[in-house]
Parts: sequence; structure tokens; C-alpha cells
Amino acid sequence: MDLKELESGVDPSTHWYYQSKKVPLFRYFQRLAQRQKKKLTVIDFGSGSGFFAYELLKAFPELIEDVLLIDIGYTEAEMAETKNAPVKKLRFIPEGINDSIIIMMDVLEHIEDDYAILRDIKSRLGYNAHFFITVPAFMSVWSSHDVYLGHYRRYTIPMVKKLLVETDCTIQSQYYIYGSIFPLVWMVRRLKRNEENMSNPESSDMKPLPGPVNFLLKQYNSFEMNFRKANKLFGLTCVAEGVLKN
Amino acid sequence: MSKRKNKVTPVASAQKHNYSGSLSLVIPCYNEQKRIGNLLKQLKSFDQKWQNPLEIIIIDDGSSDQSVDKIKKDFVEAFGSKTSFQLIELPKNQGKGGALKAGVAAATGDYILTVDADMATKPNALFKWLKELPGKTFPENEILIGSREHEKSAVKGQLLRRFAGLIFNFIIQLFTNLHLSDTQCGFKLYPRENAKRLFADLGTNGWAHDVELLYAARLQNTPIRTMPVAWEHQEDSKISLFSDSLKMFGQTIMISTRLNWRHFIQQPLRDLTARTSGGGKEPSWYRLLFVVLSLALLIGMPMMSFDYGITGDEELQKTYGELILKHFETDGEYVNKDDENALNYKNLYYYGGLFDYVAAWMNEHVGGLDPYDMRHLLNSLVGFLMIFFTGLLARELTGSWRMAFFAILFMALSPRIFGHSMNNPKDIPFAAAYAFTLLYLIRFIKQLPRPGSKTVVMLTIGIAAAINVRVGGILLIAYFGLFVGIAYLLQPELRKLLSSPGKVGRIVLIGVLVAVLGYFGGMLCWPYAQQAPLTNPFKALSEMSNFSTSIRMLFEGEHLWSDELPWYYIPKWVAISAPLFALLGLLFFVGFFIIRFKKEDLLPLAFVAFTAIFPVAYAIYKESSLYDGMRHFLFIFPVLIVLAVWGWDQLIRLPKMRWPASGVLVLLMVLPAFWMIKNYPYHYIYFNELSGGVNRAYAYYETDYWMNSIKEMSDWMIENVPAIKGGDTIMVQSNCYVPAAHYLTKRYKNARVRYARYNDRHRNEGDYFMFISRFVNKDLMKNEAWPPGEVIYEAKVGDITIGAITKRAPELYDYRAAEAEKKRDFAAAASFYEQASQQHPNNETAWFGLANAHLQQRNFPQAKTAIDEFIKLSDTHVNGQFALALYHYNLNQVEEAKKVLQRLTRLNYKYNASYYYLALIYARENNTAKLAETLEMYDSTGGRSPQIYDMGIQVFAQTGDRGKELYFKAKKLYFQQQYQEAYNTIQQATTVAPDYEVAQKFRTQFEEQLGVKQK
Repeated sequence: MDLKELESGVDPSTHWYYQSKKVPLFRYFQRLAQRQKKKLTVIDFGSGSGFFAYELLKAFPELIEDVLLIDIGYTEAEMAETKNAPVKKLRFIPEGINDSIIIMMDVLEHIEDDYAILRDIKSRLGYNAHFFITVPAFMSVWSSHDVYLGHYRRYTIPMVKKLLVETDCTIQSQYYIYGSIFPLVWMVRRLKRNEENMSNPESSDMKPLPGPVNFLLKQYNSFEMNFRKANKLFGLTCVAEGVLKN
Repeated sequence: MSKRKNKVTPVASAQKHNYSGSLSLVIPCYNEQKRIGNLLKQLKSFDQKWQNPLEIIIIDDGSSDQSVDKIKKDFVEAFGSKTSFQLIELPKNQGKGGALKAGVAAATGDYILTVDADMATKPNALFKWLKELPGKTFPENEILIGSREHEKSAVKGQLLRRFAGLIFNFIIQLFTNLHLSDTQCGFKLYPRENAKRLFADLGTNGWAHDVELLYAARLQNTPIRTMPVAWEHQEDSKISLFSDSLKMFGQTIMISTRLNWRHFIQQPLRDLTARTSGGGKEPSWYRLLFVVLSLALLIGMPMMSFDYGITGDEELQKTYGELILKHFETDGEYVNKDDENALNYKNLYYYGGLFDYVAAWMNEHVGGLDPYDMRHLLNSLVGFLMIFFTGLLARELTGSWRMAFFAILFMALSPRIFGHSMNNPKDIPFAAAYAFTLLYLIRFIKQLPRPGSKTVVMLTIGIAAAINVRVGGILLIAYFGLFVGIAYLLQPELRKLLSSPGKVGRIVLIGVLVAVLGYFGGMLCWPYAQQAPLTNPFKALSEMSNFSTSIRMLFEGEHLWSDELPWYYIPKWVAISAPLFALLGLLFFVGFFIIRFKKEDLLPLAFVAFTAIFPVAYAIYKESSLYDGMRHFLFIFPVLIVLAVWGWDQLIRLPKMRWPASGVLVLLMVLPAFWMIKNYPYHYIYFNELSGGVNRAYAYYETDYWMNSIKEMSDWMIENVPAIKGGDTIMVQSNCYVPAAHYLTKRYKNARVRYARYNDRHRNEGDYFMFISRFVNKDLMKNEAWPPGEVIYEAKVGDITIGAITKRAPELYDYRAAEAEKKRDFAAAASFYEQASQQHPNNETAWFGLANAHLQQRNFPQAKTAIDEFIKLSDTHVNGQFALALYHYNLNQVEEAKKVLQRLTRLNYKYNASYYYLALIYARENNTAKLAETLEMYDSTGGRSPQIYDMGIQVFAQTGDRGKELYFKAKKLYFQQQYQEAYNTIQQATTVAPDYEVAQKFRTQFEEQLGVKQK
């Protein structure tokens, strides 16, 4: 999760985008943990504020062994402060953790060599490691929003598939989310894609919204998540779930 | 840049028109110094061609550039003598609306043309308009607006901007009902008086002022005509697509709110105070009444919903909703402990789960209420929407708010509709979706050949919502195609378009879009349909059309199965349960419709009438299994009400009929209103005065078939049976287990509830009975054998008892008798039953038990006495008749036994035991034909005796019917649990007689049980 997105005053604990985006993560995690019949370590890679990991811990404390927030931006003080806390902040993934799920919520697009980072993560983890990855989708909606957030690229399902296959991961499912609002967002971003905006982006598209509008968008997009696995065509975000390492 | 049409419409000759009045051009101007030259050029060009008096008014809207200086320098001397020029300088920028307001206030021309200073559309376009207008002159009292979406317009501009414009236009339509494809083109012509009035009231200074002007004009019933324009996008536009779009969106909502407030509240109140009618054809205060009554219902119905009880199927519906919720949350993997999920639950998986899913979601994510209270709250809101849409449908058909008001009033005063609105989770949501869809279907037809985007979207949503409740919503797609087709064939203006493939293709494309999106949208809350979207909805439709559930009910004083009802079941229910004002209104509708159909365009009304008649006719034709009054057909009620309102309106319009008819109508509305107050909350049990009311319906029709009275009785028990609050364990037996357990046990664990069939109520221990009258024999009800035993509380509607609590005698003689019966100690059973019957001589179960115990002991005279006592209570109860048949049979009085058994088959054609004994009698008589017939009935009603099936083998062997012989053999083997042989035999039977449907059906069921795939 990108902290720059929160600069405009967005509160992830209420904002429709974060609240609806956690739905597929929750559903995947719950099923995974229940099937495994054991507690899992949650590793939030590129965690920033660690919003999604905290939300998971809040919702499923009984299914979680440990929570590790991994971000190179953490200070020594932050890491020391959480050393004995249930949620630990670290700069790098410790080696040899078994029975884990690594979540990468809109992280890979910020990394120049996404293949290398995935290989590195894989080499550090122990057995029975799973992944839940979200990345922004479709270069056709590339806009000042992406420039502002420092994205290197937007993905498609085939791109993510190639990445995961070439790093020897097993994909369980891939799909797009936010499909129904995609055409509208596509149009708006195309209209905003002018030289001035692209060369000097002032903010991301993430903005706080009036309560009722936010509520409607949250419910609408959360409902759409019911059909997410059927959406292989288009959406704003591409999701992949699977096994990183058996 | 994109070019939609590169052929720009040429400017028509200036001479060829008949307009001779004056004209004012009003042009707002803000920082336009770069465009002043072009503006002057275009105005001069127009001035040269325009022969009549012309006034040019430029309003500088606080420009900060050199615009004003340039205008002052260049414009004053530029125009001829017939043209006056005026520059109005506003001290600070107010926005386009504010500038135009100032300009229009100063204008003196007979017509006022507003034009944008960028000259995206040039004033010369006015000549083209004049050429095309009837009489080649400007129409009186009509506003002409340039539309870039007009089919003859020539537009040059950015495609994306146009697309954004369409979305904005959709938003405008959504909030204002303005069926205009382009409100934002600045080129508009107003008759002076209209312009002065509209601009004087204008409250929006920004870009959305057009929306306010046009919506205000529409609310004042001023006609608006869209005209073609040649429009070219100008660079350096003052409109920022994003910030101004957002502002316009907000302003549109504000405008809609303000103008609706003014139109529906302020103006009618003002007219009322001034005692004027508002100048229109009908008094404006009908609008106010419509709003006030709607608001009263919107607030009142949810408040009342908590007083209505849990209905018969509600627990199943609630569970189905929860299963759908789980289904989605687990991506279809959830299965409960009973192996149930949203794909196999009862027969509910054949239904869309829109309401149940939403209710389950609300209970899960919002909570705070008892789950059934939450359901009833939502139900009442949906019920309100149904009533509200009925009002809007009436308004759409007639253009009258008076009709809309009376439509919602009629609905609110239809007790059954009002009652069902509170707690019927299937029929009411479907009725609401049905009314909503019809509203937009009629609007679609009226807007042909260019239906508005809002209409198209809403129609699609309506169809999807209906299918999401019941698959029968697919019917709406068929209506849609049918009505649009008929409209094109019957309406001359549309018929002539049929020769234009492009125009037909466009409407076909829209139709296909609506049908496809509506169909697939109908599966959003329907997991079963999602599994196979192209086949499963039709499987469900087939299952629902041949609904196999058969329920016993009371209709016209007879206990009938739902598959043996007379054809007029639904029409009769409408006749007895609709209020008299609705029935009379329908009669008037039929009469006036026949008289006026040829003289007036009543096609939309005919379409709507068809949507009420066709489903009933189809159900009659299909001999559908129906039950629970007419609740499955509640969806036709909004339509019937609209027709009834129209019928009354036609009558009241007749000379000398206004006051007499109005008086009768008021009287007829008062009757159900009083009834509703008196019998709150049992509105769904209403019978109209023509049928004799609910008192006459007692023991003649079903009353509280949906268990509503259990809530009242449970509440009474909690307050009046001290043991409950005292913590002592009590046992209540009820034929409505779910609501009784919910209202009693959920609140007080010590108040236990056990399910008991009414006829078997004595077979269990317990302290109280809590029964509703459903499934109680009508003679028992008439002969005061209902309520049974020592009654401590009765739930009543009118003078009749719909539910009762009785306290069981502490001796429990009947229970002890039943226990002795189980042990086959018939002497003891007889003794206990004797005591039970003495304790309560109206206890028919005691008489039946006593007769049976004596028959078992072959004490025939005593048995006959008990049977006679039973028959005194009820001559039609199957238990009494069966005991009588056994009495005769045991005494070898075969003819008497046969007569009684034959009567039994008429009383209840599914009473299986009667066929058993009749078969034995016919076998003794060697009556092969009758025996064969009886054996088939025995089989079809669920017989299981190998002995009887053996008879069938022999009979059909004699008659040479090999297929039936094998079938009976297979059934015999099956009930002897010789499954492999049974399966081999049924295979043979279906091979020998492939057309024998009964055998085929058994084989299919058998294979499903065995998991064998049929080859």
C-alpha cells in the first residue's frame, strides 16, 4: 500500500477502495487457513502502514500465527519498537519462515525488476508459502495517477501469469477486480492524460469522498467482488492467488 | 479531434420564412477578447440577413481582459438601423446563468435567442430552424433548444468530450426526468414571456442553469422542442471538463431538489392559500397530496412492520438468503451441516435471492434488530416502493398527479396489499419490480423512436430486479418485445419509420441490449442461475410453470388440493379480496375502455391491462397449482389499481357524475380504511363487503394461512402465563413451529415449543396448544369444535377466531390413550379416550381414537356410537369417514363401506387408505376395471403396500397391459427393498412401454436415488 495515496487525507479504514479491496484478500485468506487447518504467518511485503495486515489480524486472529510488515522505509526505531509486538516491522523478510502467506497489495508495480524481487522473496521463505498479489491493470489507463505514485508499469493477467510462471510459482486463480467501473475510469484518465498532468502530477486519484457516496461505492464494489473470479476481461486491478513455494 | 458528420447543414435562405416579430440575441461574454472578432463577424452576417427588428444584448460577466473595450470600440457602429445594440457590464463575474439572467431581463424582443459568445453555433442557424418549423415561424409558448444529439445536427468536436456529455446528460435525466438528449447547447430560443418567467426564477448562475431552466419549463408543462444545430467545438473553451462537470453534477442535484420542492410543496401550498388551482388543468395540490401520502407511507409502513408476525415460508427464505451470502463469501464452496447450499436448498434455489440476500446481508453487516424484524422492515420499504411505483405508473399513463395520488391511496387502502407489504418476502418484491418495470416500459414506448438513456437503464434494472426475485420476470422481456413491436405496427408515426433500416436497427439494438443485460443482470443474486446462465433460468421457469407442490386448502367451503382447483380460483380471489372501490373501478375501466379505445390513444393502457390479464389467463390455461389465496398473483394488483383509478376518473368526468360518483368512492374507501384500523395488523385476511367480509369467509376460505397470529398469541402467553417469566418449563404444541419457537423459546428458554399436526395434537405431552385455523376441518370450525378444549386466548379478526391458545387438562387423558394405542393396549386406550371425550365432548381426536380402539377390539356398537359422535362434529372429516368405512368393512357391509370409501376419495382424492380398502373390495367383486383404476390411484397417492401392488400385477397381467404389470412388479419389489430386481424390472417396464410416463418418472427418481446415469 502506497503511503503517497494517503496524502490527500484518505482514511483506509473507511475509504471504499481499501474496504472493497480487502474483500478478496479476506476470502482467500480465510479459505486457505481453514483448509490448511493451521495458523499462518502473514507477511505484508511493501506494507507501508500495514493496513491490510492489520485488517487481517483484526478479522481472523484465531487463524494467524504472526504478522510481519516488510518495508524498506521502516526506521530502526520503528523496528525496535515492534520487536516483541504481535505485529513486527522489518526491512527484509527473515529466512526460513514456514506456513505463510505473503501479501503484496499494489507493490510489484513500484519495483523496477519485479522478477528479481519475487525470486528473492521465494528464496527467503520456507515451505508452504502462499501469495496474494494485487497490481494495477492495463497500460491503457496509465495516467498522472501512476506517474505520481511512481509506478513502473501496469499489468494484465498474462503479464502476471508470465511473472509467476517464470518464478516457478503455482497460480491458483487470477482475475480482475473493479471491472464495472473500469470504462468510466478509463475515460476519465484518458481525458486527463495531457502533457501538463503527466509531466507534473500533483496528486493521486485517491480522494476522500462524501460519506454517502463513499458508502455506495463501497457496497457496490464489495458486491461486485462476489463475481470477481469470473472476470478475466478487464478491471482496474489484477489479482493473483496461489502457492509461492510448496 | 473527431468529426461525427462532416456535412455541415447549409444556412437556409434568409427570405423563406413567415416570422415577422422582433428578436433579441442575448450573448454572455467572459474574457472573450480573442473571440470578439469572430463574434462580431457572425453577428454582422446575421444582421444582414435578418429582415425584422433585432436587438443584440451582450452581457460582460466581469471580464478581466480587454473584452469590454473591444466590444465598445467595434460593436456600437457595426449594425444597421433596425438593430439596437446594448452592452451590459456586470461588476463581477457571476457565471453564465447570472449573465443570461441580466440579459433576458433587459431584452424586449418577441423571442429571445441565447447564444454562446464562442459562436460554436452561429445565429444564422435560426434560418434553418424557421425553414423547418410548421408555418415557417416560431411556435407560441414553446421553447426551441439546439441539440447536438439531434439526428440532423452536424457536430465537430472531441469524441471523448461528447461521451462525457452523454454521461452528464444521463445524470441530468436521472435527477430531473428531462427527456432531452442535450441540455447544454447554448443555442436556445424562448418566447419572451416564457423567458422572462423562467429567468426571473433562475437560481443557478453556473453552467447548470440550462438544466434548471428546462426542468422548470418541463414542470410548468411548457413544451420543449429539440432542433438541429451545426456545432463546432471551440478551443480555449471556458468549460473545464472535470471541475465544471463535478460542479454541474452537484448543481443538478440541488436544482432537482429545489425545483421539486417548489413544484410539489411550495406552489401547491401557495395555490391552496390563495384558493387557486395553479392555472393548470388539475389543481396543483394533488401533487402535494401525492408527496404527503407517499411520505406518510414511507415513514409509517416501516414503523408498523414490527407488529407483523413471521410468515409461513419466512424461515426458509431467511435461510436461503444466508446461504446465498455464504455462497458468495466462500466463492460457492459453502455447504451447511445438512449438506445444503444456495444451489440445492429446498426448491428455493429456483428463485432469485435479491430480497433474501439483501436481508441476510443487512442482518450480517448492519444488525441491531431481530433478524425477522429486519426482514419486515426491508419488506415494508419494498412494499412502499411497490405502492409508490404504482402511483408513478398511473401518472405515466395519464399525465395526472391526481391519478397518481389516487393510485397510491387505493393501494394503501387495499388491505391485502398493505398487509402483505409488511412480511411477504417474495410476492411483494416481485410486485414492486413488476410495477417499476411497467413504469419504464410504458415510458420507453412513449419515448419511441428515441427512448431516453435513463429509461433504457431503468427498464433494464427493472427486468433484472424482477428476475432476481422470480424467474417469471423473464416474462417482462417478452412483454417488452411484444409491446414495442405492436407500437411500431399500430402507431402511424412509428410505422413509417419501419422503412428505415437504420432507425429500426437502432431500436432493435437497444431492445437486445435491454433484454440481454436485464436477463444476465437477473442472475446477480441467483447462484443457481449463475451456474449455467443459458439453461438454468429456463429449467427454473419450467419447474415454476409446472409447480409440483400440492397443498390442501379451503376454497368455497371445500377442502381441496391446490392441483384440483376450479379454473376461476384467481378471479374469484380478486373478486372477494379486492376492495369494492377497486372492483367497481375495474368495471368502469372495462366499460370506458371499450367506448373510448377507437377515439383516443389508449394503447399504453391496453398494454398495461394485458400485463394483468395474461398471467392469470396463462395460469388458468396451464391449470397451475395455486394456494394461499392470491398471493402469487399480487404482482397484478398494482396494475388492477391503476386501471381502477382510470375507470373512476372517467366516470367522475361525466356530466353530473362528479359529486355522486365521488361520494360513492369516498364511502367505498372508508369501509376498508375502518376495517384496517379495527383489524390491525391482520390486513392480509381482508374479505370485501360483497363477499360478506371475513365473518362470512370463516370455514369457507383460508384466513390466517400464513401464521401471522402466532406473534400475537406468543406475546399474550408471555404476559399472561406466569410460568414463562417465572422460569418454569412449559411445553407448547403448535402447528406453526418456527414462529412460535422464535417468539417464545428465543425469548424464554423454558417456554418450549413442539410441532404438532392439528389432527395428531393429542399424541404428545404438553401444557398448551397454540394453533391457527389452517388445516382445521371446516365442520369442526362451524360446530364449535374449534378452538379445541379449554380456550384461554383467541386471536380474532372480525368475529372469527384465526388462532387460539388452549390449556390442556392436567389428566392428559387423550395423550395417555395415544400412548396405550402405541402399545396396542386398546382397552386402556378406549378407557382414556372415553374420559377425554367426556372431559371435552367436542374433542374429535378423542372420538376418533375411541372409535378406532373399539374397532380394534371388535366392539362394533361402541365404535359406532363414537363414530356417530365424531360425525355430529364433522360429516366431512376424513378421519370420521374412514372410521365409518372400517366399521362397515369389518361388519362385512361391503356396499355401505364402498359408498363411504368412494365419498372419502371425493373429500380428499389423496387419502390413500381409501384406495387400499376399495381395492380389496373391488378384488372381492372381481371388478377388474374399477380395481385397475383404484390401484393406479393408490399408487399415485403414495401407496406402499406390497399386497396391493401384487394385486396390480395380477390385474394388469389379466388385462394384458405388460407395461403396467411390470411397473407394479417393480414397485412391489421396491417396497420389499429388493432394489436390484426392482431396478431391472422398471427398466423392462420402460422398455416395453416407453410412453408410460408414470413408469418413466419412477425410473428417473429411482436412478437419482441410486446415482445411476440413465443411458
